[in-house]
Amino acid sequence: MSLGAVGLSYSYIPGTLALRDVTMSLEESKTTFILGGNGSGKTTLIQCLCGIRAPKSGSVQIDGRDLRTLHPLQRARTIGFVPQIHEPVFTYSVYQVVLMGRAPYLGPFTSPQKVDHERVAAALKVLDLWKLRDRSYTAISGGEQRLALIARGLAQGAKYLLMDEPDAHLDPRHQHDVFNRTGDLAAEGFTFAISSHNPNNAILYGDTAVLLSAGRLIAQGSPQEVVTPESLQHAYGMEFETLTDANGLRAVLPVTGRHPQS
Amino acid sequence: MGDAFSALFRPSAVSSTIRALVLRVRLPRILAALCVGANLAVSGAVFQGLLRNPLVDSRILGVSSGAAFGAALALLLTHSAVYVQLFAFGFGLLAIFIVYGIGLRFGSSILILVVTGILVSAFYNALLGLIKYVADPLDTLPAITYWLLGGLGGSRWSNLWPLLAITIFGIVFFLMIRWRLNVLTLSENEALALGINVRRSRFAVLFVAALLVASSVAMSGIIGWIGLIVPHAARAIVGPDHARLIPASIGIGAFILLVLDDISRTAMATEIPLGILAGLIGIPVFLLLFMRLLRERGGWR
Repeated sequence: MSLGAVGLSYSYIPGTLALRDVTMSLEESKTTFILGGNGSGKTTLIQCLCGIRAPKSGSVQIDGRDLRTLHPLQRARTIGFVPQIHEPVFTYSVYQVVLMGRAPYLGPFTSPQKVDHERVAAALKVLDLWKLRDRSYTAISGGEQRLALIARGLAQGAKYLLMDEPDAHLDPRHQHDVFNRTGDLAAEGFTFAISSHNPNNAILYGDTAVLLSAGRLIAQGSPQEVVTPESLQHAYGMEFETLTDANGLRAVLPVTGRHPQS
Repeated sequence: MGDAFSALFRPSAVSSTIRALVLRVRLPRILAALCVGANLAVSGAVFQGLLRNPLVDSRILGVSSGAAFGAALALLLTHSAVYVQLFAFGFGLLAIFIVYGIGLRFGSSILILVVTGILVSAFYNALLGLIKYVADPLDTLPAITYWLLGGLGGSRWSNLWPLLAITIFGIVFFLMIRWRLNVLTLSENEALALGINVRRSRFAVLFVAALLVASSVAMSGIIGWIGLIVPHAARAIVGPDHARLIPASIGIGAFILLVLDDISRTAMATEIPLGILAGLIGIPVFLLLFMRLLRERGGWR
């Protein structure tokens, strides 16, 4: 099993490329962080890897075949998408939100069957959301909402879970909870791609990382290799310094006048 | 009441006049009221869901305005009830094709569909104004005005069957697809990621909803608020899950319109147009029910 991009380019506005010739692949049963500044193409890359945006050139490859040749339902049973914001217009319960993950297994005129409810119950239990199942999705915390969307991905049967900035709007505690869960699931065989604005989350929770700048891939590898002051300066246009301890890289921080670099 | 039941189930027990009245006049009218109420309510629920906007109703995509224009045009050209129904239905459906035709050229996002729907609706209203302006003020203009106020007085078996057939088809369609409607209320990206062909599904569902609206308006004229408020009342009772919301909307809509039509028939010596009655009685009553439900549930969420 493998999922990745080969020479992938994407464009929203003719003449402007949001992604240019990106080649990368997700490591199996690992968490890959996708880093980069605002407008660098993180979300576009996630959505192309999900198959909900068709590449302008190049391709997304899954198990050696072009993702576009996969039937949409088959694709949805393999790849799950966790959007940054899930804004339900109507206040569905957590259970109903997760149940929608069964759509790829049901015809348009079919309602969920016993097996679908069993899968949903299992997914909710894996993420400790069972007791919240009847609560309104909008009434649970931001961290629980992210977990509910991961549960939807599990109910989908997806092996790849692609998450667009799941750490946005979450306090450190909730970020920690969400990334501990994704880490546990990766250890069980799920493959994650997670876009983030915070390079330190890649160091703390990532197995590998890629760094985008203006639609180009400028670094990929282990977080220690990718999150360097040089590559971050390239990506964000500002100076960074590293904090290390006996075990290696702990964090990167912007260089400020308040704490002059020693 | 007893006579009505006898006419239905023991025809020999009542006089032929009563039998004819019940079977030929009342029964088609009752069926028409049930159909129109169910159609407006279920299409309102579907439009609110698919357009991701709780403030829209069955009139949003210009179907009602198209039907109103079609009926007025037919009244201007002929006075045949058949043509009124036919034109109303045809121009009503034309609206959804225009909206989708334009929508497709610009990516058929929800915003484009709603904006186009509002424009088509406004254009049809301008055309309707034009017809009213040129219509004979002594004869045709009152006929148009009266028709637009809404009513089911003209329901007979002879003109009921198209509405009946379309209603049965539409209701069965929405009852079958009701769970999938939940998925179609997600953002486009999420629905795509779940493997749904969003544009095709959206068109199929909006088209069937438009069929229901066009066939209803062709029968009853414009009855405005049912498609807005009934889905909200149903949501307050059974929650937002379309698996339960769709049947609830159908039931409540059909029941409400039947009651309103009975009042319109019997409250005064002459019939009160249904569109007016719906506004006068329906809105305050619903507001009261709605407030009470909200209080019981501790708010909208």
